[in-house]
Amino acid sequence: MGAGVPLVDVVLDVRHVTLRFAGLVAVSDLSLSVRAGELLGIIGPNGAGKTSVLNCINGFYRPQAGRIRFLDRDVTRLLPHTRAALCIARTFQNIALYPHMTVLQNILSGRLVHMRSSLMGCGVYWGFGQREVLRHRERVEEIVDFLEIEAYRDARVGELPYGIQKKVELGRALAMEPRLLLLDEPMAGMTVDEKLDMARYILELREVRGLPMVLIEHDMGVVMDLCDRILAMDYGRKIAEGPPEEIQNHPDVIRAYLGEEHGLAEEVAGR
Amino acid sequence: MTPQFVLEGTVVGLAVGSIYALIAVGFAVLYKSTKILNLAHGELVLFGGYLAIALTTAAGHLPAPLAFGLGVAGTLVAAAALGFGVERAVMRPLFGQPLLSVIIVTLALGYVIRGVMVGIWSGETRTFPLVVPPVVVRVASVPVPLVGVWSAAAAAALLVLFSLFFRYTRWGVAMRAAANEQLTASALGVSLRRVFAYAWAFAAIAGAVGGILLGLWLGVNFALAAVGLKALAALILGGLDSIPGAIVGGLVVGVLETIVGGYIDAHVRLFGHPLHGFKEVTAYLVILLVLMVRPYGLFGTEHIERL
Amino acid sequence: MAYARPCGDFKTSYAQDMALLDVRLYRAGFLLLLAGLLAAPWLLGRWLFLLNDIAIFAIGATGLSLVMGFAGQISLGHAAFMAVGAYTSWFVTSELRWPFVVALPASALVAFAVGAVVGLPSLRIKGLYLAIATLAFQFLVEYLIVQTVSGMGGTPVPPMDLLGVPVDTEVRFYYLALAVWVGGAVFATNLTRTRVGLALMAVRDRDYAAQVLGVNLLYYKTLAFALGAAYAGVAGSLFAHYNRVIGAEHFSLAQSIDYVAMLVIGGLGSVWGPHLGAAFVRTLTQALKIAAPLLAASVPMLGRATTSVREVVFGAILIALLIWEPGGLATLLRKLKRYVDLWPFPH
Ligand SMILES: Nc1ncnc2c1ncn2[C@@H]1O[C@H](COP(=O)(O)OP(=O)(O)OP(=O)(O)O)[C@@H](O)[C@H]1O
Ligand SMILES: [Mg+2]
Repeated sequence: MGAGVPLVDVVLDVRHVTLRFAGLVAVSDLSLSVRAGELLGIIGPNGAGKTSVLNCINGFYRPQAGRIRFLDRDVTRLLPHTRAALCIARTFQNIALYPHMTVLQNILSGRLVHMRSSLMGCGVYWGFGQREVLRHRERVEEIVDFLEIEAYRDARVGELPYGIQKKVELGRALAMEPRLLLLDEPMAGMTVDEKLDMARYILELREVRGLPMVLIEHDMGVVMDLCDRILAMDYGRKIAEGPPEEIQNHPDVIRAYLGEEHGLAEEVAGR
Repeated sequence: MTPQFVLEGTVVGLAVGSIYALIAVGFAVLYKSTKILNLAHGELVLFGGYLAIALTTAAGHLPAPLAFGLGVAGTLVAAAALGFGVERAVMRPLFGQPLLSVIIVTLALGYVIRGVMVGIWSGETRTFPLVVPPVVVRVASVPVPLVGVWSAAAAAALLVLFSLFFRYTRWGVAMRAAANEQLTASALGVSLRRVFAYAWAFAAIAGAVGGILLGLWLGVNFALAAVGLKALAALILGGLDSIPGAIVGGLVVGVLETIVGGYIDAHVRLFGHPLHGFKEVTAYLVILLVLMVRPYGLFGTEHIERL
Repeated sequence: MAYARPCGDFKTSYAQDMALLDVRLYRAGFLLLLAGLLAAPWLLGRWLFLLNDIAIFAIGATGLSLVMGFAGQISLGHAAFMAVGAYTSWFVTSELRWPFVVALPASALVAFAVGAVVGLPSLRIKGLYLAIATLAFQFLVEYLIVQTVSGMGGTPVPPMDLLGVPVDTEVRFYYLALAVWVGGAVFATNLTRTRVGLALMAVRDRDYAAQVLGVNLLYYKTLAFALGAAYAGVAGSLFAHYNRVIGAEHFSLAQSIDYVAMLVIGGLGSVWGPHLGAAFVRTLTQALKIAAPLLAASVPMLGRATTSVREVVFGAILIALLIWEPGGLATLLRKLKRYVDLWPFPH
């Protein structure tokens, strides 16, 4: 790694992004990059601006300054759905599934970016429309198998337990066949078993598929174990960046967490 | 558009608008505390107008002010009873059900109330026995019928009274608490059921008073129920969850339809055709434009979606 | 959901799993329904007009179901789109003197285009606010009808003619309407289980998240309105030639609200909902039209108040139905289906 890495290796490149809300700087002159096959962790106390960074990458928020490149394209000015069409997938901190749709429909909706059938094709169905849906349906079943949620296939998502919903949300993101996956606190609020499952999926995605990912997580144990590299934020700024060991002992990071209920040092020591 | 025309329109519009505002406030309070959009609100107005006229007429052998007073008192009691009854018999079984289903139920309720009213009193215009002398007074040099002045003044006074009620009385505060956060309110020991019942009674009373005031001025027929729609428009314009918004919305709708509507009706021509009856359309076009700029009305709280 | 299925019916492919009528029993039931509809002229005799009326409004309601039930956008201007279709059809057949086979698709297309434009504000305005915003369109159309074409009265519409065959009896109109109705219903149902339906439901359930996952809100929201309007336009065209006279009163706000009521009573977000709702509301309306005068005549106290009897009974039945089953008739149907699925083991 370092200066010698050719640029093609960089999947996502965020340069000097600043995002302001009335009177509040949520993200301040932040730069980060994700390389092929890499899992980048973002940590920081509550309100540090982690989610806002993902929202800028998605185009949900428009930063006042800075540029964002994805693969070989400048996406800074693209609308959210056009960026998604480039296969940037995402899960959300506060589950954002479609509550009245079934698990299958939710995951199938992730395939929307790959569906090409015309309005007429959809309405006439028999023929092209059906073939397309069935083809996508096969991919969805693979994901259902991967996430071990067969039993919930036809259940309405809004009625499922929290942990399952988190899995379904990952499933929907995977259905997009992402070239970059953004995970916003995928393990928050889960039981230990569920966390282990989730960690297993993330590892498999990284090891087997080499999927580049950004992971926001408050559970320091998880972050330190899974990530290749970690970026620590506070008050919208980057305060440190590097391999887990380095971040763990970084004085600024420890200071940022000291004011918190569960300081980083405590959490790391406690595990 | 001469200054005189604008002035006249403003005065008359504010007078009508203050009654709209009163009706809209009843609407808003109900929406705030129960999250129900009451499509029977216009029928509550109709109910008030019809009943007050009937009671006042029935007490016709008494001196006019006394008969009117009794009529109004009886109407208000009946309105409160209607509100409580509706809440108990119709709305309570629907607690927690999909909002659109509940809204359609209020619509159906409106059909029932209107059907009964028109069945009893027929569809023709009815008027109060002479309560206010039919004279015209000048307000800011604009001629306005005395009833209009009285109605507007009464509406304004009641609006003040209502705001005092919500600020200082126990039930007023409880209803505001419920409006802000239903869960917290029930945790604080406010009985949601009672709040809902009071909200319905309040809405019915506000509607009935609106009906009486409009009835005094213009008479009552079945078409009066259409002011329910105007109140709804006022509410949306002001912002669904804002009581001051409902008041401003009511006044604006009143002024809009008199000035802009009146002006276009009288003066604007499209391809040589005068635009009669464009009044109705203008109000809604203006609302559409306002919403394009402020999607949550003038004073409504914007709901920010966070991911 | 692995409950017992009627004997011998196991799903063996995804195609089967996605089929609408997944069990032989329901396929049989559906065929029976179709057969009944085809035989309706013989079964109903002079009451066939009821079914014609239902067909027209069910087509319109199917459109609103896409807008409200699937895309989650409340519209109080649906009858106005019906007017757009009706007057387009009138213009094409009466003024241009082109045949009905041109007028019908033209109505759909014009309404589709108007719907797309009217749908634009939905990008910014949401929920109940949007409902009021659509009122502007409703009143504008009513106003234009009164001011430009029909005045306070009605505009006569020429009789229909399908490739030389005059459609001049209830029975002939019925088969035409039935074909359009079934075709439209199948088309809409197919939409709901493919790309378009998925995207619309995503918009309904959480539009702001959907855009981050690749759903183009501008496209799908306007598409929903355009599609809904196109259905209303077709319904309007059929209505115009069936009723032979059209005026502002046929496409009033009350009719728009009736459409919403049909959907809620039928069940939102269900493919059967609009048909059940339209059948229920229209049958009730027509039945009360016939029954109310009788009722009013037999109870002297009611006097001449037949309209109010109608309103009261109509309102009371809606209230009773929705208190009994707030999810609408489609939910009742679903419960029935579950019961049949479980039979003979009622667990
Ligand atoms: N839409 C918005 N409008 C106004 N302020 C916002 C908005 N979104 C985020 N903020 C503010 O920006 C700051 C950063 O928020 P963000 O959600 O990115 O933090 P975070 O690091 O994800 O925190 P957490 O760990 O709690 O999820 C916060 O102060 C937040 O209140
Ligand atoms: Mg966050």
